[in-house]
Amino acid sequence: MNVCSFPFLLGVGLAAILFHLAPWKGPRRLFLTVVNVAFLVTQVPNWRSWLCFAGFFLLTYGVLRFLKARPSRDHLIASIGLVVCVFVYLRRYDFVNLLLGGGWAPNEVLSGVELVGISYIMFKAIHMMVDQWEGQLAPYGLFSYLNYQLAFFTLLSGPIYRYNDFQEAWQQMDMGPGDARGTLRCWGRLLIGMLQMGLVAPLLWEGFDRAGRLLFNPSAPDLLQGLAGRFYVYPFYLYFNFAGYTNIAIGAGGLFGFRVPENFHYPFLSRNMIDFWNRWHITLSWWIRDYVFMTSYKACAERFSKWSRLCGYGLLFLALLIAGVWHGTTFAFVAFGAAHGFGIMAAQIYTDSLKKGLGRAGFQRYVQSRLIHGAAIVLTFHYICFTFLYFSSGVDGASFWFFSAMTLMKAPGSAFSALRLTWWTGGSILALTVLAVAWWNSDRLMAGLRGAAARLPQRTSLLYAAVCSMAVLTTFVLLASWALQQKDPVVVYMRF
Amino acid sequence: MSEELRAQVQQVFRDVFDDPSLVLRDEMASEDIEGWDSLTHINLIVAVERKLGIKFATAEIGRTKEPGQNVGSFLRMIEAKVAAKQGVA
Repeated sequence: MNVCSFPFLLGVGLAAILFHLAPWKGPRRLFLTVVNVAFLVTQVPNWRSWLCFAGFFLLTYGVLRFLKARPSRDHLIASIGLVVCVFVYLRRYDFVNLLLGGGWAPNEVLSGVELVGISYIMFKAIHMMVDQWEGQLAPYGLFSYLNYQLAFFTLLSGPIYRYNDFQEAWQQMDMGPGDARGTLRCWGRLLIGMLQMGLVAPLLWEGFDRAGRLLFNPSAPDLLQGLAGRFYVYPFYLYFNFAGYTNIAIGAGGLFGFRVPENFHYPFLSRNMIDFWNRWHITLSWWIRDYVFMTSYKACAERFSKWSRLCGYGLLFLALLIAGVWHGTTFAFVAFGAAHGFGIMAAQIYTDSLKKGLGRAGFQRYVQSRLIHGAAIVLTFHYICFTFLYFSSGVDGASFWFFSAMTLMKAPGSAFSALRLTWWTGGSILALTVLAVAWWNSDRLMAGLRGAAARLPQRTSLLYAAVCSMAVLTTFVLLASWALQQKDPVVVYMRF
Repeated sequence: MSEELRAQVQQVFRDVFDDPSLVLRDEMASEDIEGWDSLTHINLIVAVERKLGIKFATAEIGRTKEPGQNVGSFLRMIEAKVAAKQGVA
């Protein structure tokens, strides 16, 4: 079942009503378990996939229980290693084949196996293992672990929910349904997510596809529109697809009393790559920060305090390289991770150099300068767009630039003809001008918007009206998509 | 939190952030102290651990830098750990 579809929308609505009709904690938990398992059944295509999925799930639980019974540092390291190795095997990474000299044949063994959400199961299991070892984990059993790992609202692509937060809601399940405004907000998030994923993202994908056709047209390539489309549109497509899914997850989880964490915070307004990873896929970057970067950097700082800063730069690179490799099984994703690792390391080195060079007061002035802040956002945004070329299907960064250069060499006239003032280029210049003016007056603009929002009456009826309008629009979009026999949009991050 | 413990933690902050004039206030967040980035955060944790003989868990280290957390919550966590250590001793 696709999360951006009519059956899911109806299913969630029905399940939320039945869930809140259940009188006590026990029946509610049991009902949620049935819903989670029923959703999982729609995601696993064949018995081989079931076998692998169940095996991996039971392995993580078994390892957790083993560590609880026999806690030791060596056991913890060995257990994490075992889980990661099984995960790498199941994911069928290309680069492992190269490292093992071609003696790697999981493709034959795992033929037909499609696994859903195992990355997230691994992230959550490792977090539980480490927290349990350090005495930070709330009590758990097979029942709560099963629902934590298989919760239908976070199964496909997170967000990575920490167990203690889940357990708090799992314990409070006997409370009555939330207030009307809270429930309406959850429905609002879910519907906004469906519109982002089902309407905005497919439109952007269409633009990206069209740009590809313009760029790769051998007879008359339109270089400017093609390049700009390929370069700028994909990050927005990915954002609306994944942020849409996240909104669905947060809304659906909220209807059952779970406060699923936020995953995005205006990522394209990042000042540098460090800032970007605090705004994009936040739960993943915080997981990597806590369980990869901070753990290793702390060990480094404790042992080699003199070289700790240098060591930190290397570990920042390594952490983002791991994040990149996690995103996909091919070499393009290794390059994606390396580009992000380089970006985040360069940002840290640049910031440290500025602090040294400018002094305390000078650095403050630098940080507060609106011109520099604006320029930093533009530069970071372009770097992000560059790195996302590795994500876009069939094109990676190197081949993108190579192809563009070849096109320019073959038909230099096309570059000039593309520079004609079309509606597209004119519109882009106008949009950039408006953005620049808005940025320069952002304080006044934000104060005005806040004032307008404060003047709006905080009435529940308005919230009802907004949610009903979104419900009508979502219904229309899903119906139109069904009538036109369009495929339901898939979560891009589901593949990772 | 005792004045003595607060003064000890403040001295660690001053050393790590290289700012002898730094005065800790409970409502201060990481953005209010110049240079409190991920790397310096770990240096701070390691320095506090060394000074007070306590240990922070992985989840605690990350949590202290999340939105909504401030110097006050960090100091309370330190106080609880020092109290637990003295209780054990």
